Amino acid sequence: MSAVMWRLSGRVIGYGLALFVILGPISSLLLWSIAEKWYWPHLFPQQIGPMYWKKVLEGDMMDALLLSFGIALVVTLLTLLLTVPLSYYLARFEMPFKALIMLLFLLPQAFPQLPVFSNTMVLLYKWDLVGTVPGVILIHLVGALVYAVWILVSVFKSIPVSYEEASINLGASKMRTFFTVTLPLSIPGLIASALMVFLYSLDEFTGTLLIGSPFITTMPIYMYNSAMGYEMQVASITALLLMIPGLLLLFLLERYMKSEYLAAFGRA
Amino acid sequence: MDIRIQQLQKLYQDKPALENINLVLQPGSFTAIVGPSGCGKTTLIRALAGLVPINGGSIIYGEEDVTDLPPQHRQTAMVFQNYALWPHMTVFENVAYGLKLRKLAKAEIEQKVMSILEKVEIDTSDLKKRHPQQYSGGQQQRIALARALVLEPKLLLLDEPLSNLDAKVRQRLRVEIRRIQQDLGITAVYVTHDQEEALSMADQVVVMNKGRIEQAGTPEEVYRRPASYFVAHFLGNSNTLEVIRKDGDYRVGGQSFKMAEWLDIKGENLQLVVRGEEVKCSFDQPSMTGHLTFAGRLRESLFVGSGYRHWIEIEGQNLFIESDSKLQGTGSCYVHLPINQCFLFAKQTDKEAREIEA
Amino acid sequence: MALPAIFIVGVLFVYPFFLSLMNSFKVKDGWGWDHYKTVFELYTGDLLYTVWISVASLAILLVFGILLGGYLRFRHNGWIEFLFKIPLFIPFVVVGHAMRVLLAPNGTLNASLAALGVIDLQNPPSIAFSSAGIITALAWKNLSLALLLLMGAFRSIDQNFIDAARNIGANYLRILFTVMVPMAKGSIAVSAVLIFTSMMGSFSIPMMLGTTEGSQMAMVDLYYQIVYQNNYGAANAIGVISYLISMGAAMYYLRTVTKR
Repeated sequence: MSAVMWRLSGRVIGYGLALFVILGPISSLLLWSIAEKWYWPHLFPQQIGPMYWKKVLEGDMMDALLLSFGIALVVTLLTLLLTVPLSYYLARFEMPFKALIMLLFLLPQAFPQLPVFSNTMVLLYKWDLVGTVPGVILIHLVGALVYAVWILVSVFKSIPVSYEEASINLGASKMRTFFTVTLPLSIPGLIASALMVFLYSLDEFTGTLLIGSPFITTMPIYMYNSAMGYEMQVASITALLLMIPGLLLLFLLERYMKSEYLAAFGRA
Repeated sequence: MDIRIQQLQKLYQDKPALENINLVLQPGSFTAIVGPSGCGKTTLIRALAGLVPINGGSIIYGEEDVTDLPPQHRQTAMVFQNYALWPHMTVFENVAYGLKLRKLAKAEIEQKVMSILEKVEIDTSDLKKRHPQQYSGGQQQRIALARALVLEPKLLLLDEPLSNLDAKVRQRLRVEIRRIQQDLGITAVYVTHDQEEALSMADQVVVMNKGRIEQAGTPEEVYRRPASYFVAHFLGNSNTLEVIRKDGDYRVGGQSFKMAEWLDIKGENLQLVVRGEEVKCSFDQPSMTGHLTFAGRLRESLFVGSGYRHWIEIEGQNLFIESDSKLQGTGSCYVHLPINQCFLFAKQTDKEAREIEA
Repeated sequence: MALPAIFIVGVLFVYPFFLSLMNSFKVKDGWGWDHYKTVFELYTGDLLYTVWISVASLAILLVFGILLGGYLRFRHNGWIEFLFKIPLFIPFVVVGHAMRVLLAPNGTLNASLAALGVIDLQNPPSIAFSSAGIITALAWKNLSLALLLLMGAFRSIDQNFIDAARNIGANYLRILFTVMVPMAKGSIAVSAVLIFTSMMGSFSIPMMLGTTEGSQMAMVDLYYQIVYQNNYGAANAIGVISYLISMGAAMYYLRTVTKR
């Protein structure tokens, strides 16, 4: 074989392998979601159809879906409201205990969540928040705030101080400068972090399982329960639905935004 | 073995970065490529090294066509502007890297590394322990030179090797690089944006602009006989005077002069280029043999250390001239331009002019 | 305006963090090491197992990340990069479920292999519900993170360092291992620590793919102690041990960071 053929076949094998590694696990889900009858050990289902999709979309999964989106929306709004001022302060000003505050926001990234959240659960029990939506929102907020602060501090730091100084120099107040100069410049970063926080809340499992169960069933919990109950089709369909927002976000980030925020994600 | 570069072409996103490059490198010669930033000189040297793929043309070593050879088989060695000495290796490991790849015996590697480092005047006492960061910039560049030379390449490529160094070290290394190159009889291509460096070091100077070679020749040729307005303007401290030609009569503003030469230049609007150090100024000599003389006004004199720089206005146009001593007098004066040092070209379009200024 | 965020993280994370330290030493009539004794009696094997699983997944990810990250540093390939970012955006539980479906004894992988005649269906191997299943799932989920971190490390190496090696005759693989990896050593160590901690603390994937008998990952033990035994003391002791292992990794991280 010529060198060109070698290179070409090497490339085909490479792409094939990459596609198999990434899409292999996902394609099994697709297959299961449309399998109406599938007897082991056949490679493909005996009967395929939309029956389970209909069942799931008309069933209690929809409640979980709506609840998840509602919680994620509230978490995102609260997070933005609470982290934009804090991140701006951290990015721009020297303040007392700054190092301590940064450390505070590093801890949740550096240690396993479960042992901490199990103690948070005990606290929330005392305040009657376990098994309630506000309790779940609070536990989501912990992780969300941490993500958002880390992203937003770097967003604000990337805006040159000289832009703000020029505005203040021309007589604008600090407040006005923030709203007319800093904020408009940081909008792409704000959108990126809002989307990431939304996705984080949507996908959150550990905290929700501890604080929410058995009364609060979000999408990941619903999926987990049906998977552990061997309802293969229901679990697979829910899993597929649960993947869509993440894939959309990935697409949006690739297309319209800098991908430098990505590395902060993926640790949960 | 001479090295021939023929019809070389390189596109970046469909825009030509190198166009129709033809060049012959004589064996053992030193070629300097100069030009403003973005002129393609770095692309050219990296193409010679095989580090950027080219879109057309060929590179031939003697009889061998190396155009399609990967960088590791070209027998070129490159010295980089930021030295590119690997910080995690000792000086010895850096220089020995290429020899190890060629699977030479340990003793041979040792002997070659030591002798080349002596050649570039690096103290060889404990270079097996020391890392490149512990050396000064000038010494690091010597080490980088050694790393390239130890492989006995057919072509040594130097990509602005001195531009990160301070003026004194630069002056010294210039002389030494030239000496080492001549001692080893190696063919070298040297990219620089410093025209003085190019003119003082090279056997052949290549002036590039916008991906093209404007002129190639000995340093004297390109300096004394520039082939284009760009070359004339780029080299030396050049002045440009706008000249209008009508019916064989040449005029700078209201002052006319006669010229027998330059008839082959087309158009009415011309540009006269003359170097500041060639122009003389007097207060009482309305003419001078072999010179064009214009009446002007001395506006200002600046002391620039080695001499004086004067700003003279002729018919609304400015001329900067240099002299060793302060001019005795002020106001109206005569400016004398030696005819054999005046270069006349058809006027650039505005667009071309802007590009040259930029 | 800045205070509520600090307050929430403080009360719901930092305070419980210290509570878990405290409660791990609290016994009926005062303070003591009893919970640690219980944990070490019951779970020494599991703790070692957790570290082993994390190290094994980390090793796979580092080899993968260095090879692919290096390849992408030499030759930009937007498609491959995009493809390998996908796992980052797929929830842990979905990864857990997908791997169950794929790797179970009667899963799609075995069915495919059987169709190819590679395995015997009478006695299908179970990759899920074994260490291999957990390692596969954890490695898959962290593919993107490993690749992003290592690609970042390799991209920050000046092109000239690479060209200098290419120019004097090194091939890609050699440049990768003699120039790029040593030059990015610090960043690689940092990435390794980040990945290791996140895998050590992983919970949903071991829950879904864990073995029914034999060793469990530490977070699963902790969960069972709370939910089924209601033994918060022992659960907190496991938690504190997991902090210590994370801290050990983080100390190493800080040391490499400050050294540079």
